[in-house]
Amino acid sequence: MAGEERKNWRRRLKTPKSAIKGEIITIKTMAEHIMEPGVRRDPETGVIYPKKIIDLVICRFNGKQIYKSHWYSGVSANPFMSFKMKAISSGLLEVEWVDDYGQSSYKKAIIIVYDENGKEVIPMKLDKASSIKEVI
Amino acid sequence: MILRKNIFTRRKVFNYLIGCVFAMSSKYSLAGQQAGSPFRDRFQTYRQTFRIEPDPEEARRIVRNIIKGREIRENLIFLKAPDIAENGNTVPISFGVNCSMEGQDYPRIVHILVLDNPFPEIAKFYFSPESGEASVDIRIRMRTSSNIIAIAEMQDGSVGETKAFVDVTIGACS
Repeated sequence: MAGEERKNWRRRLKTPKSAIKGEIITIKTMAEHIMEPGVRRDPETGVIYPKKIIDLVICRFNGKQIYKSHWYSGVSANPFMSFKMKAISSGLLEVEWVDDYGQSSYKKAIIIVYDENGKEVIPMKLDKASSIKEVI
Repeated sequence: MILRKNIFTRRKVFNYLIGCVFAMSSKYSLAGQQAGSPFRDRFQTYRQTFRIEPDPEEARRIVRNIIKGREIRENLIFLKAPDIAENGNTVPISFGVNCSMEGQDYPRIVHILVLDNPFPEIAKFYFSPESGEASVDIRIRMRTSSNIIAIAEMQDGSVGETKAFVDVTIGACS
């Protein structure tokens, strides 16, 4: 049982590591979750399994929310979702999955964006030139 | 002298109040139910819901509430779904919106509904101008072969709608 509980917490996030400024990049997310709709019965005892679904997915880039989706029980088990994002500056991408019990789980990734000259686009003003990896 | 009994004993008053409450509650609960159908919780607030049959009228009412009599723009949203799905548990669908994603020209909400599911609402997607392109791939559950409807509500108030029919051989339990 403990193993199954742990399995419901595994999350995956796949992004390109680097991009050119103005490019539209694809972000693929996957959560390993049973997504119990609250309708299925145990075949032996006839007890209905209680509902347990992920009902909110939020995507933030550098702390600003760029995309959000509400899910109901019609989304399949182990929900996969891919969406697009415009690369403006390099930064930290966070994806948050929220359960209907209020538990949330995170996954993060760093995307580095270069302009046409091959120089990194940093979202904030810095005294000396450095990479986003050193800042974070 | 005749000893007169007190009519309003505490027990009588208490029973009367209980009767009133029961009558009111039964009246309201019976009014919400249709004959022969179990209680339908369309808002999915309960942890355990019975296996109920799909209600297409309810689904059409939800679609009407989203559109609210606005004019439907053509070629605004396109939906890609398989013609035949062998397993109803995972049906891969994808949608996209024809817009520039600048200023007011981006979709605020995109709704996905399956009309013949007992719970027609599948997902809602909220976009912003930083999204770059409003296109999403997702996998859904379908109980029977039915129409999938995608509705895009733009930031300036206009609405787009598309349909796609999917034939499902083995349905999901949802």
